[in-house]
Amino acid sequence: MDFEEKLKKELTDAPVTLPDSLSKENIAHMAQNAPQEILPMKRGRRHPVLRDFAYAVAALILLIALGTGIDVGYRFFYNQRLERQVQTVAEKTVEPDDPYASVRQAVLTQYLESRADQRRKSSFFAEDLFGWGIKYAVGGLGAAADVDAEFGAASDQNAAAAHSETNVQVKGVDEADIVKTDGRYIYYGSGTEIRVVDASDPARMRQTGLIRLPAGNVSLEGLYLTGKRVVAVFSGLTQEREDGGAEIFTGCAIYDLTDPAAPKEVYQYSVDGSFTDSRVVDNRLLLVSGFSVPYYAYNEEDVAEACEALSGACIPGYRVNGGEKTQLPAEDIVLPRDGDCDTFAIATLIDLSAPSDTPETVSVLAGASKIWCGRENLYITAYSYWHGTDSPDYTIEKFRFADGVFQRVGEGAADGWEFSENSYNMDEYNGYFRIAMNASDGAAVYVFNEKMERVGYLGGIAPGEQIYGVRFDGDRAYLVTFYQTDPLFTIDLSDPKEPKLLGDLEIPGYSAYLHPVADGLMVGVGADGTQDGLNGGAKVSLYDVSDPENPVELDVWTRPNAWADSDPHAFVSLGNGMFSVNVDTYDQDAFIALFRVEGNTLRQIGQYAFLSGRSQRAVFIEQTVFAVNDMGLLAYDGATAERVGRFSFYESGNYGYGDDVIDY
Amino acid sequence: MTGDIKTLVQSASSGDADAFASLYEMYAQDAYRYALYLTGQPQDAEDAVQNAAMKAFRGIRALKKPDSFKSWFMRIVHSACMDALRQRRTESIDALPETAETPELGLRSDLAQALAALDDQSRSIVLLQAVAGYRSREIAQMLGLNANTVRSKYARALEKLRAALS
Repeated sequence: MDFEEKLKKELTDAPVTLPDSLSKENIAHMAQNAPQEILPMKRGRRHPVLRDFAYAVAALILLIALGTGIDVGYRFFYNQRLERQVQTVAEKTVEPDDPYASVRQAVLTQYLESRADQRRKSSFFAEDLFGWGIKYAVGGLGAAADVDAEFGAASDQNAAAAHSETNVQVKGVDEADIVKTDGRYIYYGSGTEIRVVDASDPARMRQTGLIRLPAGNVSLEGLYLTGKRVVAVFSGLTQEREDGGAEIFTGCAIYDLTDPAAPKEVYQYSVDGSFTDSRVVDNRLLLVSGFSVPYYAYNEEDVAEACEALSGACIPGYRVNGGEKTQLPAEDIVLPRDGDCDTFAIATLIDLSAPSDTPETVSVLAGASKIWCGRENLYITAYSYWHGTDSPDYTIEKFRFADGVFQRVGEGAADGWEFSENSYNMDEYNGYFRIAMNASDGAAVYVFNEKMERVGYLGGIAPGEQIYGVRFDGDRAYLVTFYQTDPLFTIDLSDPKEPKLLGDLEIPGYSAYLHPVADGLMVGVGADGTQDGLNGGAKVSLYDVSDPENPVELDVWTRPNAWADSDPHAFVSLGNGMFSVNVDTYDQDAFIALFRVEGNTLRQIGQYAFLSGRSQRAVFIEQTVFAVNDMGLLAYDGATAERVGRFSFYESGNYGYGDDVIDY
Repeated sequence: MTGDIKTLVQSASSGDADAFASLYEMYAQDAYRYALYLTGQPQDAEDAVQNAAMKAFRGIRALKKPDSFKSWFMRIVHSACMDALRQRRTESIDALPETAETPELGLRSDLAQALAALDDQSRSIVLLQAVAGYRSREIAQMLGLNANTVRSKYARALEKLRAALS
């Protein structure tokens, strides 16, 4: 039995006794006393008589077209006639002059093939041929833009205070985060709300305003600040479907904060699919979602009925300001080469200075796992789970958006799989796209040209190890793998066709986030260890990579019984070799650790605790350090480390938690 | 009371508590097991399943496709578990992160700890597949993700568990 099967067996065989309170009798008894809901008539639901008629017509057409003797059943698809018959059913369910005809056919074809396939395979990855039993290898690409930015100069006129900014992968490409500042206000977003906290006097912080996300089952993914506006991106669920299934959507809302005490929603957009990622480039918001066609909802005996329903439900759409749903224009939907996927990747471009009723969109039936975004090009990656033996594991779709319109540039493919949640394993430099992944024989780095043709490859790096961290920096890439100890690899990418391994450094523990701090110097945030493995402590390392063939660890800071947050947004770069890292511990409150690189040493120059609980974000405004988390804010004098202010979200008057007011 | 799902759902929709209880009984064990491993606390699991059952009975008229009862019910259970987890986090302001005591879940302690160490979403995905037998697409629908994301999170979670248990 492989690991997956053993795990399942253990979980289902373990003895679990249903408590008496959950017995059938008790539940029946409780139900007797529970009133049932009376449902209001839903608007827009298709009239039952019309729907039945449509099904009847579809069934009739199918019967006539397929004739007798063709048994639209499952064993149907196991033989050579599969392709022809799939084509027939798909064709007959779709109107020929429908602008979406090719899209619907592609979806139906895959659906029918997947039904056939499901009968044969039974594992979770019935559709995949990944060898998950294979050890991860190294990977990591990341483009480090320039050497870390200085304190961000305030971008709007009034907030004159120097303040820290979100640590982004690409200069000029902003990333959403849960905490942002403009030097005067600190915006904290969570769940359905964004708090606007006036931090101009750290000793007297107060919440001046509260932004409530649009009603409905939404959850904030992150926020942006642009000028006097806050842009929130969120995911949501609606309960509208007849089978009790929920529709998943991704959305954004723009709020005007000219008066910080009275935020005003000025625009709202939602699109089908679950949230993938977002960016803001040149005052334009890029929102990417993944819309999975609801195959499973049509898992029923009647293939004709399933096809009819699926055909009607498979075209993604969007809404502006809560209006009627508009389907994506047919010409914006692309079918990739292989056409085998169950998820539409949808990218929307919204001009934040003049948001439109018909924003620019593009969609490709190729899945949406992660993105990498530069100033001109957007790359959307996805697993291709559908396999023939010559099908790649991973696809990368490239779109140009610099002119305000999406242009599909090309599609690349790689064999391998992901190891991280963030985009640092990818990078675009001088037109070449680089990506690092785990592969069956070790980590691999792929290089693609502007047309997404693969031109370079370096594989077999550290077989048997997992990739833990990656950073691209111009002509170089740094890769961290780990099994028991951590090799840090330096890779030369100056010749895109011949990526070369230059050097490696074997050290205990590992670095999961790498950040260039000065010429030839790089900081690593991760876990501490010994030659025998991890030791449960946090570690921050200073590397000298000026001689790429001989990387050296110059200095290291460790803290036992702790872990350092390797989320790139938990790292704050302050310039002049100063940076901060968030550390959580088992024995005291989480804290911000402030460091400065001094020559060849790494010196901790400050420590600032978070308000009870875990770490979240560090914000620096002038000389004040703010430790911000879901409990509230603590403000410190950066020089003396003396606490100068406290603002708890849970003290009376300070809360606002959706409809539930928490009374303390 | 026996009967096929369609009939039971119809009866339950007209207020028949016994019919509902029969439906519930078919999935109670799986639902409780799921809630137990997801929340890691027998009391929370019990509350979640009970709340979910009541919510399901009250809202069963919204279910138009009786065949989807199981997924529909499990989604409500999942939601109730997430509420319980959120509630517990809000209350335990001064509590240390999950360390020593893992209540008796019927699992060997290293598996219980490895599961607890996963983030809520990854743990849900592993359990929905292992305990309730859902496919990636169904799980995607339940959790508001796309199928691709579910598969990659599942794979990563499996690797983490494998590493923790080896």
